[in-house]
Amino acid sequence: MNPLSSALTNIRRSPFQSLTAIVITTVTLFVAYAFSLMILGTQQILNYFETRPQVIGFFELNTSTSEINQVGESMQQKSYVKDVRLITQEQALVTYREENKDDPLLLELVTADILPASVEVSADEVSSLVQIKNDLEALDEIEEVVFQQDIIDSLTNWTTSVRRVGVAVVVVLGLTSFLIITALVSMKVTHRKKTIQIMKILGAGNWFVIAPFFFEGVIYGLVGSLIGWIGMYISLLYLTPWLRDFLGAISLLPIPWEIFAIQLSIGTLLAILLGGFAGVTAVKRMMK
Amino acid sequence: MIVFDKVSKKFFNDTFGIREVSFTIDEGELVLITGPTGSGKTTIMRLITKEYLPTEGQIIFNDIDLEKIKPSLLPKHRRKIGVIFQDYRLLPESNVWENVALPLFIAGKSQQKIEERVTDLLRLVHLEEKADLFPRELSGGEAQRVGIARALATAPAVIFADEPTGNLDKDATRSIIRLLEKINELGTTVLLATHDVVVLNDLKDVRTIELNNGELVSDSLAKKNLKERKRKKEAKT
Repeated sequence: MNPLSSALTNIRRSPFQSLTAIVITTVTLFVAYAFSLMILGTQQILNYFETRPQVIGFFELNTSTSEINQVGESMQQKSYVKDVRLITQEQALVTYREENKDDPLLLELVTADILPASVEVSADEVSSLVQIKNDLEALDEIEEVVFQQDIIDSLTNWTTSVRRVGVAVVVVLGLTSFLIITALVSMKVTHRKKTIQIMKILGAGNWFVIAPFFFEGVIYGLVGSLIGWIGMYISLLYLTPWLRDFLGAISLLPIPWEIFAIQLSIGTLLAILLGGFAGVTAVKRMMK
Repeated sequence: MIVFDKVSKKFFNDTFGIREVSFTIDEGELVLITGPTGSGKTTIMRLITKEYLPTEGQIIFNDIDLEKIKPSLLPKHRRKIGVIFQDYRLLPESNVWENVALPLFIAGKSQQKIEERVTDLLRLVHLEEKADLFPRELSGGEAQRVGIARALATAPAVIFADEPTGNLDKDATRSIIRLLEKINELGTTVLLATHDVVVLNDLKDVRTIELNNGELVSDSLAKKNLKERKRKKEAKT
């Protein structure tokens, strides 16, 4: 007759209602876990692109090696520049040959003379890229500047959208779970209204009446969280080969176990609070 | 022990549950509260358990003004009163043993104490063999005996039996009356609200408070009867 065993008895005696509550909580938590990983992933992708050379300046063909080195040194001295990499005409040719090794015709026509040397400059922050671009464009030795602002902008927008959509979906599903658990527990409370009245007359305190319903909600939250997490983990394992191909050089997998531990802990805690609060809300409403 | 001082209870539709009712019940008394349906018997019970608050007047229970009992202390107050209902009000999902044990769980007693107390109570009401049965498997008389055992579980100072024989035949009624008398003889104050003729005839010499339309019509001399009963009891022993 302790509150926990009473809660388990309540669950056992209405299996379909309990199953509905667990399924909806599971779906909510599955989506929440999946979105939290997506948000983490998009953030990592953005970080990856931020650390790549983002501004490339192509030198005039007649630029001397000393002038190229001088440009490299002057860029390196700027506080907002993270890294500078100089590509000579010969190195450019090597890269060109590597990229077109399957097309002999293209290889025959190209020599180092017609490929420009370049400087690749990366920034500490995305916001410094425009400044670097302006710096390079101001130099006489630089013929053309290639800037990945549009890619970064779209990536930033994408990350923000994923985050917003994720939060919105989780909030809506969380609210739905809360309402469904509240409605289901309310039905059970209504069914046991007379029992509650008798308990109150026999001297039961509020907690004695509320506790079984609170624990029932907590069990829904706990079970839903664990099943949701397991579902997410299995899905991740299933999708891992495809994700590796998709992400290419971006090293995102395997995800460290610490991330999973934090994710599961926070998710389970929130699910328990959600379930428990829904249970208490239902029984308190009925007790009024 | 229980003092009603000009107590009135008016409901929302301006009808009175009771009107200016006054009486005093001493410790160890057996008192019949009688009157037709709607006369205010159940209202008195609900006022004592503080399910209702009086519109006027004062109710004293064990020297405490019920009005001064804070909501947080209400459960503790209710544990001092054992209530028996006409419709038994047993928990249908719990068996006999669990129903009797419920007030002890509520009071937070240890498992060992609960086991001992429930076993004693089931022996008192002669239902040891039916501990595992559910309320739907019991006869009316048996269900009411479970209700009495439950009311006695926390050894309350007062038992309020609200029409406890309303759904029972003559034999079962007499068995319940004997049981309530026995409980009273053991020292518990018993208030028995009834308009059952069998009960009234069987307990002719018991103090009777008669209500009609919410007003107190008569109150037989309580102290005289109590002394008489004590004298009889001493003579028996």
